[in-house]
Amino acid sequence: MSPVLETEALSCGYGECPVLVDVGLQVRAGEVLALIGPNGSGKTTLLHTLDRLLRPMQGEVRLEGRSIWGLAPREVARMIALAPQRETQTAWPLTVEEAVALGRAPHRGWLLPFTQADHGAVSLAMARMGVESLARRTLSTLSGGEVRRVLLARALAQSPRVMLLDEPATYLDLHYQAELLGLVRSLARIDGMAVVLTVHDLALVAPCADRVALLAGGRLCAVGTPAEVLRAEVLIPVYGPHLEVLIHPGTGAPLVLPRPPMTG
Amino acid sequence: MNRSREFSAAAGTSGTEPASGRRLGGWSVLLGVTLLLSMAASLCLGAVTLSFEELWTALRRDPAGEAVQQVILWDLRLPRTLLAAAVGAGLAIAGTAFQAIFRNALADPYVIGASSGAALGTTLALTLGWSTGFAGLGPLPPAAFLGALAAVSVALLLAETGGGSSVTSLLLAGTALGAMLSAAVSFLLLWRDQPWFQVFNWLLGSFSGRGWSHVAVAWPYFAVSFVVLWFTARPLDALTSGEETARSLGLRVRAVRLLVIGAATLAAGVAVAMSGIIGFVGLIAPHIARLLFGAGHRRLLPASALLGAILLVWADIGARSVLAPVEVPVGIVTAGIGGPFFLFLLKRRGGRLA
Amino acid sequence: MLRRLAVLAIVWGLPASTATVRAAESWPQVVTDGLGRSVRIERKPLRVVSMTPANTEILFALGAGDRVVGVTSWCTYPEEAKSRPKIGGFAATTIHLEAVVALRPDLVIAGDEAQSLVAGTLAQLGIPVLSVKVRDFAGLYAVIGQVGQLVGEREAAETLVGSLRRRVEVVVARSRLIPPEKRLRVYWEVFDAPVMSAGRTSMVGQLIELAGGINVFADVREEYPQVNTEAVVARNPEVILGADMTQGGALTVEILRARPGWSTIAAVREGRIHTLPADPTSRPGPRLVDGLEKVAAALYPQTAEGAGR
Repeated sequence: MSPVLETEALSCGYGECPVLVDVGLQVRAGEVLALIGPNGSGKTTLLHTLDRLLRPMQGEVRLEGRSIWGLAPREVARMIALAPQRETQTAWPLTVEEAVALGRAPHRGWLLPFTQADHGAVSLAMARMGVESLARRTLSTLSGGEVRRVLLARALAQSPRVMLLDEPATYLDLHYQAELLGLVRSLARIDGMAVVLTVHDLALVAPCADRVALLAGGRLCAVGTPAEVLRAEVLIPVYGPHLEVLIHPGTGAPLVLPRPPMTG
Repeated sequence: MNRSREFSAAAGTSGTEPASGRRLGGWSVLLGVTLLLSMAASLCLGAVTLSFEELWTALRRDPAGEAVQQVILWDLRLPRTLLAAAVGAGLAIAGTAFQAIFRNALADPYVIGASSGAALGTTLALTLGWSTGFAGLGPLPPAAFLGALAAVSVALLLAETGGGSSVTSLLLAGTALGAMLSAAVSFLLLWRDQPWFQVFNWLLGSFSGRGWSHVAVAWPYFAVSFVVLWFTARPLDALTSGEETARSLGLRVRAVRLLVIGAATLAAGVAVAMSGIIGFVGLIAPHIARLLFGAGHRRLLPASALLGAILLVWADIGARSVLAPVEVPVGIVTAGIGGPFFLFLLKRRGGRLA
Repeated sequence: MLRRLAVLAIVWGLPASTATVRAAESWPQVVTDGLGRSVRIERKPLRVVSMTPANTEILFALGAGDRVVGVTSWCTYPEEAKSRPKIGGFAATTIHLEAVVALRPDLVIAGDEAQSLVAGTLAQLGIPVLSVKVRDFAGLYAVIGQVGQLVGEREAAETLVGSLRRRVEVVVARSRLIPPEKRLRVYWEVFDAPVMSAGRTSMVGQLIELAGGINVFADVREEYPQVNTEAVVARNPEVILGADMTQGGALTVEILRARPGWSTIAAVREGRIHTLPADPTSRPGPRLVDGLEKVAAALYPQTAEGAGR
């Protein structure tokens, strides 16, 4: 099956120096790709480049075979949605419902009023993220975790084919983290989306990802299944020696845990 | 949801039901009626006070009524009231748009140089003795209008060449330009030993002597501006969520920003051309509208416009009536309302601006 | 009756309380000027600088014109004044202090509070400065007297004041002949944008009252108030007067009729609109009496003609 989203020899960054060089990735429909790497490795930069927010310095990003910079921004927005890590809010933010409704703009346009279908998509997105009870609350009155879920709901409302999630699990309570992992899997399996998410906490990788890409030193160090990438010999050169990889007794999935240095 | 309740209590909102939850329907009717009543008051009050009956008689041009009252009403007060409402709405809607574009609660329609440009245009016209007018309005309105547009265009250009198209560079360019233009105005006034009160009065804003020709010239510009800005409601919502978010949703941010700034400056430029620089309306009306209606621009823009109209109509009533027959520049009245209003905001929201 | 007494009081002038005078025409002379400062002249001044056009006119009228060494760029009367060295404009910000000092004046005649900063600095430099403040005719006579005293032209000053007083009396006498119901409502327009008129404390307002007119804005104390156009329309003046300044819109019937609402004003309907020369009606100098006569002639031409002027 041909990939929905792929990059070829991609170099991207801000200003003069690239943050990432020569990255080649592919994501297929129904597949979850986790991007991991230390802080500053360029995970967010890569996501922004995939979402047509940042121009590649070299190489290309292709959506269903077509270069995204040859497409109109709105067309790309119909197919790719990004749920960012955070948004700086103005002192007068929108309500949850208004914020999620913005996700319909790429489809409905910026001028026309929303249809029943649009409203339905918005309600569904809010329900899936568990924020429908907060619909009339303004964003400034929500906790960090609730805001994250609203941003995710907005991305859902965009009904995209590719979902980009930037550290979606941050700020979420354990309960919601588990729900999120389940959501990510269902987006891929049931909705058939191609999902790319950046993950900081390596423990979350195995439960949801089909494939993992490791970014470090400005390059793509490794890409493969979780079992292939989450191995001590692959991770230690990048993260340092203070970690250990265990196998989950029940699922057989690799678990990466920090191992404090021996004292005494 | 206990944590949420604590949040709202800490943020100072009253209870769990946020202001933005109220439906627009009833309130827009209320605002509309308030505007009509305010305009009626404006037609009754002033150097000559009319009772409601006299107002009705004069409106119908009943020959049994007093001729002087009819003249005052039809030739002086009616156009003046309509103009005040239009200018108030225009300034308010421009202020709302700018506050969204700059994501800044203190942005007003003049923040990127429209007022300084208009002041320079007017001062040049007075100093150099221009006499060509436009549609019977004299040389000052077109000079002010062109000055405002020119200044904003220069600010946009400076921002582009300076540091990309971010709003911060636009704000900086506008502030720098405003300072330079104000200095130029002061220099011109000193150099030619001009009567200060003429420019001063214009700088403070006034509706004195405005008639139907002003209304006739102004209304198409306001109409265009309002219509264009109405269509940018959803993009403005996206922009207040952040430039990246907006682009991620497929919005052509640069193009929309230019369009909004253009439409808002059109309204501000015409407002300034018709009545001089009237401050605070474009700053306060959006805040009040947000308090009542929330931040969604589909409701906020028209609500802001109505509130701005009501505000300025009452300010003009005050300008005409407080020291009758002496007329106070309306800009002084709006400043008098604006200062205390901000203090009130500060107290109520605990420092967060609306 | 009371009105008549009040008019007479204005005309003859209560003794100006601001002047304390030494008896003889001898030097040094000391007076207290319009701002309450004491001014002392050691000997007859030979080099005098004037900082206002009105003061320039007073100096020339007293015959001291040949001793005037510095004037403002607005000093346009008499003709000889125009050729004197300039010290700047009228406003305090445009007067060049260095130019004044460079002219080595023995006496500087300045205007009122608006120029007090400049006057104070000059006084600190040791230059005698007489600050002049004229609010009415009594004040004008007093100032002419003070200036005459300080430049050593007391006789000329007395003669001038005497003749001015007589001319004013003539006008006032004629105005008394007009029955109350025939007195005309007058609107004086100082400026058109913003609309500015003259209140009762302004010189022009006083000219109108003395000439027998009724200033429609006599109820306003402020000198030059910005007024509401509605008020002008409502008060329906019968005569509209204004100065023929080159700045500001000219006062013609066509222009006034074009203003919204003004075509119903009696003065506009009947075309009784007069422009008078600006300087005699505003400068607090000897020509102010010319201004008064012109106002009277504009308001009641028959009376002026009937008296054979």
